[in-house]
Order: sequence, then structure tokens, then C-alpha cells
Amino acid sequence: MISIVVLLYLYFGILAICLFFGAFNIYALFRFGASSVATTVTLLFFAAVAIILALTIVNIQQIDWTTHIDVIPTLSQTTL
Amino acid sequence: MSTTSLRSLPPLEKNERVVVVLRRHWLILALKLALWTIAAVVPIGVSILTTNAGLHIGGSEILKALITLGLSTYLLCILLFAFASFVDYYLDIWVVTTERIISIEQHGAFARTVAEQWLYRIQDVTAEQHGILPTFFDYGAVHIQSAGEQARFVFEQVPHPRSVARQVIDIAEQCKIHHHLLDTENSAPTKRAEAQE
Repeated sequence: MISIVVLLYLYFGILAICLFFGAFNIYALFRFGASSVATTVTLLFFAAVAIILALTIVNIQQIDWTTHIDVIPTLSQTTL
Repeated sequence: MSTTSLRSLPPLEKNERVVVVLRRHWLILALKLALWTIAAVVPIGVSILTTNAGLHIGGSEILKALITLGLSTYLLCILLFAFASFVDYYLDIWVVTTERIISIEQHGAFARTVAEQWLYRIQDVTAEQHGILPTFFDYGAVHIQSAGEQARFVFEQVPHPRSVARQVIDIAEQCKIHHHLLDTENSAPTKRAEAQE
């Protein structure tokens, strides 16, 4: 059974990879082509990422975790 | 120099100045961004349609979490790819100076090629347009063949390729005259007319 904890681990793993590639792209953009256009596009990118993360947090908070609280210790034991 | 910082260019020589800065046609970026937008909108549209149709996808809480995190990851990846497409477009530049051609190409996130060619070595310049979109929007490739065994330079998907080719030929001719590689008598009619004036 897929657990919430495993899902969150996966999510944060993918998020970290996305952040790494995003950071490198921003570095390359400003290292080789800094301009007002580059700044505007980067700010738009940050804004879109913030919106997606905010919507994700809002949706996750709406989930009733209490019904699955018993899953977490079981998985923690499995992980350990 | 438009809105681009050209500090990533190789250092210019004394009396050398930038004449033309080229990027791919805006349509290339627009098409890529349109594809990413469609890819982002499809799952959102499917979820709205299934909700309206009365289908209950997120039955269990685990499934809801799976869908939320999956959709979030998917959208973040799409956003990242769209941003990478912009970076790739924005950092591909071809610069023509009074002395040389500089080609700067970004290949993905971790590869970058900077190549130079002296204008006095140029032998042949060809403009090429293939397809419906390049014809309608007037963009295409400009192939620049130089002396020697070096691979030819290609300005890919640049706007107005014929006028760019003409411009490169003119600048190369001026450069050759400047370097005494070409007699003014043998230069193009336009140049002779200018010289006579």
C-alpha cells in the first residue's frame, strides 16, 4: 500500500531535483544574459512556483489525515 | 544591443564593434511555450470535466493526496521545462561584429558552445527557408561557409534570413577591403557606388 509518508518523500525528492535544475537555469540566465527581460521572466517563474506550492499546501491541508494516522507508525517501523 | 547583456561575448578587439545581434524567431519560443501550456492545462481540464460529470476520482484520502502531489509535481516539472525552453532560446545568440562572427549556443542546462569565425575567411553565405511557417513568418537558416576545413556556421531560425545574409556579405566585404584582401574594384556594385559617392 502506498503510504502518505512515501508520497511526501517522493514529492520532496522531485521538488529538490526541480529546484536544482531551476536554480541552475537561473544561474545560467543571469551569468550569460542578465537583462530586464531575464529578471521579469525569472520573477514570473518564482510567482508560478509559489502559486503551485500554495495550492498544493491548501489541498493537502484539506485531507483528513486522522483516518490514516495509523499508517504512519507502521511505515516508520518499516523504514527503520 | 537591445535588451541583452553581451558581457558573455569573447573580448572585442580594438576598433571592433558589434553590428548585428540575432536570436531565433519569437515564434519558435511561442510554439514551445504553447505546447507546455497545453500539457499543463490537460490534467486540470480532465479533473474539471470528471468533477462536472459526477465521477468521484478522489475517493479515499490517500488517493486525494496522491492526485494532489502528483499534479503538483507534474505542474512544477512543466513549469521548469517551460523556463528551460526560455533560457535555451534566450541564450542562443549569434553576433556579427565588424571583424568576426560569434556563435553562442546553449545546449540544455549544462552545455554551452561559443564559436568564432573571422569575417575575412568567409567564402559563401546562404539563406534558407523551408516549410510553411518559415515562409509565412519570414524566418530561416543562414549558412556561412568559410575557407579551410572548418565546419560552416549556421544561424538557425533567425528572422529575415535573406536580409541577414546580405548584411553578413556586406560586412564581410568591408572587412576584406579593410584587411586589403579584396580590391575595391572587385567589390559589390553597391560598395562601388558608395565609394564613387
